Amino acid sequence: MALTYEPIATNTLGSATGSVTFSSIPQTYTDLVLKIQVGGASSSANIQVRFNGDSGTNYNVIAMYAYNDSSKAGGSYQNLAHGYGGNVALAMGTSLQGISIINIFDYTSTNKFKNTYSNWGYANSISTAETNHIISQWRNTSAITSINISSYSANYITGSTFTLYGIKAA
Amino acid sequence: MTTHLGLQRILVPSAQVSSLTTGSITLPSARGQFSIPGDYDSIATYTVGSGGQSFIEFTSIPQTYKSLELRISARGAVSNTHITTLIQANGDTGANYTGAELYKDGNNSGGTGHAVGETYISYGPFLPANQQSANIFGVGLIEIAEYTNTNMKKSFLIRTGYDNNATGTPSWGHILMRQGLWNSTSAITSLKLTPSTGSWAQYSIFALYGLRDA
Repeated sequence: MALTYEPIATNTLGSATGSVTFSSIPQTYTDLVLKIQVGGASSSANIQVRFNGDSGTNYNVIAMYAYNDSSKAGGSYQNLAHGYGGNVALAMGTSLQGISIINIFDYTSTNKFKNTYSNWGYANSISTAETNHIISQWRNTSAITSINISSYSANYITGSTFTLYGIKAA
Repeated sequence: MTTHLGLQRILVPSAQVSSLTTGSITLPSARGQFSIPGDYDSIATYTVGSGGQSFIEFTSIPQTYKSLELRISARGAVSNTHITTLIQANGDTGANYTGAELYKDGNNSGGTGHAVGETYISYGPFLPANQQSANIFGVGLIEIAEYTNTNMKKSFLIRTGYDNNATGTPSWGHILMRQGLWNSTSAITSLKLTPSTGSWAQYSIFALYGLRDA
């Protein structure tokens, strides 16, 4: 019996890398949820999200965030080459301080641009923490068949986990 | 198929969607006569058809879960920049709702909001309407914990918004964190979602899930 909320695949890094891809995503669910627990090999790591191998400037982002409890702001960005799932904290040794949960809605619909709602955050010291809410849009009505998560420059450290779930509505 | 000896039970869908004029409603009857509920169950899903829909209402919500989650990908069918979702529980049309919000707009404005004594939660999902470009739909995640608990007023945690790539009217998107309260300790048995103006557009989808505790 198919489950309503079902793990599709998990990738736990056995070595540092800057890119993870989920391909041949089943088209039998309604929504997808990508849960990422991750550390960065340097402070230049982040979570860039691309669908179906599209690296064109077909993404836009709106964000609301708080940083170190002393600043809060947001931003809106258009015509990016990727959607956004968050920043990645510099790992403290092998510990993974950052978590990102990316909800992808109605991913098989061919009548809608694809939306994600991401919550992410990290703390890598007593004084450094960040939390963020982000909506990303892929301006394409194609069904999503693959998801690539990549870092701006620094790798994700060994042990970082990326799990893709499918949610099946009635 | 896995057979669970001694633990078989019949799953009888009981959620209903009323006022169905177009679109489709599906209940998890395809599971068959015998099924083992998981930790996260689909209760009912409504997809709006070509004629639009004035409101969506989930009725006869099962009382067997710990919390509810409503996942929305939707758009308003009205000549407007956006709509907000008005939420009512158990058919209560009295001034028994409050709400609050924290938001950020793509034009770099932002702020907070608050309302009390309303006849609905006015801080539901914030979604695009016809003055936005085609194919742009908004998202909404509504979580309702302890919805059967008769010792608690009912809280709704809402994350929502949409982006329009600086096109449309206005030429910016929105992201919002919202909170609603139904000032009642009654268990929630129905939920009604109405656009603030106009109707729900074709292809809008509203999916209700139940989450169990340990």
